[in-house]
Amino acid sequence: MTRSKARQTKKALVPWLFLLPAVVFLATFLLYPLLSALRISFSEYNFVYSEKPVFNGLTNYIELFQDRHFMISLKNTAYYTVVFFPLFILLALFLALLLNSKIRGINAFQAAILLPIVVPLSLAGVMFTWIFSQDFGILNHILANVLHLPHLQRFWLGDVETAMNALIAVGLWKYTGFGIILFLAGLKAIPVELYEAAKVDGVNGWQNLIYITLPNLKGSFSLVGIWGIIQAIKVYDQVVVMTNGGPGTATSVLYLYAWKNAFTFFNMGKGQAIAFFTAVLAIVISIVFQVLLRPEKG
Amino acid sequence: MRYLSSNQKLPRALLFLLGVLVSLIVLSPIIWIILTSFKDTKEIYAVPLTVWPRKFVWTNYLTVINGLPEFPIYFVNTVKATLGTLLLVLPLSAAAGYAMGRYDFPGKTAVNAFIIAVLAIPYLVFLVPIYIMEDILGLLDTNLGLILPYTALNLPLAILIMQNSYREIPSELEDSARIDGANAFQTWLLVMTPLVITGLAAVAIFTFVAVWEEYMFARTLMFSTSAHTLSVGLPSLQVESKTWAYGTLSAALALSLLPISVVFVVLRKYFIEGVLRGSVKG
Repeated sequence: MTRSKARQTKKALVPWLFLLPAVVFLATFLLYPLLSALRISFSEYNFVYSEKPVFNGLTNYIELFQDRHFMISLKNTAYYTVVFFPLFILLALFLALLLNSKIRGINAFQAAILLPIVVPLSLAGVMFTWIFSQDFGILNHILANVLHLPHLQRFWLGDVETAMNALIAVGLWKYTGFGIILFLAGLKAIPVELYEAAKVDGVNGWQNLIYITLPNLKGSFSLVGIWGIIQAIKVYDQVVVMTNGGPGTATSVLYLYAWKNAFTFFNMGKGQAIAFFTAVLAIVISIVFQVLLRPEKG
Repeated sequence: MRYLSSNQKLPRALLFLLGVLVSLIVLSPIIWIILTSFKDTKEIYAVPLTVWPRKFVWTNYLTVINGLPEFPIYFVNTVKATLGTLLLVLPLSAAAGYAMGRYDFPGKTAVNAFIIAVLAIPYLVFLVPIYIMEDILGLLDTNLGLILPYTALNLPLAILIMQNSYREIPSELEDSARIDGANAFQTWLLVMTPLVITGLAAVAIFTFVAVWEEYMFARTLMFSTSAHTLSVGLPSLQVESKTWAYGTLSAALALSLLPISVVFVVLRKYFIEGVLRGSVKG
């Protein structure tokens, strides 16, 4: 009796031995920080002046909504998301359809079109800062001297009207490849028989797209959509590099404002509250999205 | 596009042209940086701009290599962070993934739930406590101070990928290894792990790219030039120094994009595999 119990304990021990090193890392650098972060978000805690976090309940969260700069950052993040999201989906879908065709050179096209995925976003920011530059930027040069539309020239990153759109363009350049990969997998999973049957019925190309391809991509739309929305809500890298929130507060976004609160003003409590607010926002939106696009059963 | 029937010659040619055009548009920022890196300073700031360099010069690359001590430092720091993280993530995720994929044990559901949950949480949430912790432990501004959190942040997805890889192996192989007298450790390392190389490759390239480009943690936890990585160092040089002409900067950019682009083009298949297996990640 005891021996078999001992053997059972030993048997349960084996998987835990395999897990242990990973669990130590997860506990130290994710679980503990998560709990600690929660505590800090409910505390008054200035890293420079405060000895340690002092519990102040929901104060940090309530104060956020009386903070004009926070509301602007929330609005800017919403704008970024609303513009980024449809463009991201359409571009990714269009390019996935292109890369799913059996044309010559498809491997080279795939490598080229997906390459921005591995370009660090901060370095993409440096590249695009130069491209958007007022005097020596290639974009203004093309507008003025190639397309002969000099009135369209802008101080792209210094103009309240255009700065955010420029950041969105960089985000799209970097991230569309991920959407393409997810859509491509969805396209490859559609049974060829569906198209063959349609061919017998004399269905043309566009009807194929609308009646077979798109309805069968529902799962991919859900994945790509959630992924895109989360990337938009946590936009940060290129904003720091290209505008750092400016001009004025025109491109201040939630992540940037959270970071500045925590590491420029050392108001850790407030920074952490914004971080949690953003995280909850991202999670709630992705759950809603998932429910809306859930494939019908049966 | 599969919905176009195969005997349409004209659309095929059009699609090919479209492919060329889109590829050029996507690559144009990189092409522009490379062209700029071969121009001399006078040409870079010429009005009107020239697109194709009048004369190709290597000066900018020589400046980066000889006259810019920061660049090799950033490069080495990035390589150290990347390799250090890989050396930890690969064995840890293989071991944990094996336990999660092949065993039933008390606590498994909790571990699984935690892994899925942290995948949905944006990194920023963890940053403040990790900063405070590293401040106490004296890890700020050290290579280890990046490698440890990077390992933790990349582990959940890596474990998930490895868990699925191990689960797909038929159990006969494991059983026969046991009958031959192999212990659990030997079975894992010598019998099972050689069968999940594709999964490991996906984890490796995914982690490689994630670490190589990480910006927020690297910017916050490392503040001196000697500890910066490429993704933080190059943008900061652009801001800080007036002597930094764009010629030098574009050469530095081209050099820092080269290794990751080569890795990507060669191992693209595994990266795509990693994206697909990990697409639950937010």
